[in-house]
Amino acid sequence: MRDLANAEEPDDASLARRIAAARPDTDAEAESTLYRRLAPRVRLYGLRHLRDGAAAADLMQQVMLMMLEKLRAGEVREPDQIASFVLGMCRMAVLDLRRTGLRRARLLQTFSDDVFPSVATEANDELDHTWLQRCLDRLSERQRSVMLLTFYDDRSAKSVAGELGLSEANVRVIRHRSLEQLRTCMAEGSAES
Amino acid sequence: MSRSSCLAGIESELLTQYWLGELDASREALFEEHLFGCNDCAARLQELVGIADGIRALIQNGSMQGVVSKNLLERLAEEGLRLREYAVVEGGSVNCTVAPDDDLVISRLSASLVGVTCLDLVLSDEEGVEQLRLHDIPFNADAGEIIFIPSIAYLRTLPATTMRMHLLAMNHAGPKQIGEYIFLHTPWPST
Repeated sequence: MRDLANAEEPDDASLARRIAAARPDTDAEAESTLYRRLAPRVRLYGLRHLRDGAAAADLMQQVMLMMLEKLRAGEVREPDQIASFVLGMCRMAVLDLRRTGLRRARLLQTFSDDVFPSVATEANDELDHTWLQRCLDRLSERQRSVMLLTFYDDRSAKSVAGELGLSEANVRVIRHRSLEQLRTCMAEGSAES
Repeated sequence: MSRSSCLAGIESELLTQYWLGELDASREALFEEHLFGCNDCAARLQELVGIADGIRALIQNGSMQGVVSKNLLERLAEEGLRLREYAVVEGGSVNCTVAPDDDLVISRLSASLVGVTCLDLVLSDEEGVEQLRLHDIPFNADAGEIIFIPSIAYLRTLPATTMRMHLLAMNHAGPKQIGEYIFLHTPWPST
């Protein structure tokens, strides 16, 4: 999923316009492609703001189904801005979730789950943990401690710094270098497998 | 894990700061507008999330070895992990083991670290032969202890043995011992 690699594929806006133009029929291919493309971003947004995998998956399904419902009904005024439209729905949905909890039963009755690809699984492809451990083992003790404390609970540099007797700026530098080393190491693992 | 092809040139550090909630509200909103239209940033953020998920899994299954904080221990306990903790004072010893249903074994080494700038943790066997050295471990001197999580998989392989841990302050004049801690390990009885 790279911008340059996908240069020949229709962009999000084109797909949104196709779905809207298909009324009263449906353009299953455009719907499926747009769903597959945007759903992982919605899920990441959900993970970031809800910090819960199940809640993020629910958010993803709710927002994506709402998006398709709106596109099918011709209720998206600017299909060219579909990504911003989806982001706006995410923001509203998270606010709503925090107030009232999820309400998706009605939408799920309209759109069956098996119409759409298993994006959640696709977006959640697990890393090779054995190789990740090997890469973590290559870090220095300071780097490893910063990574463990940071990513176990997704904590900021400020909150990690005090616990390790480091400055906030130092934690950021260590964290950045550690992630770069991990990415390089993980890429070696991918190349070997 | 390929190089970025984000046309806006978004740096990985910004992705990290976003994920960890370090951006102010306006920068976060701007970045999210970009994220929703950028396959590359979405993919790189997914990669970061995958690393975070992997680290959590490795800690929870006892695979990771390292120095951690009291706060992290409390979080692990809150999540229901079974922690077997051994707290040892300077010059002290403790009888220890690892049970089949333990998730993690924790060594808590009490130490006075005021004035120490660089600290190594050394593990030796009963003859005093160095087996493992953790160089320049991070510590908060005010905490008054070092919390070390050894690999539980390694501990499960050990016969009855004595292990020694040493905290060494490293400075220009050479290493200075801060404390010695003796672990008298006995394997869990087989059924």
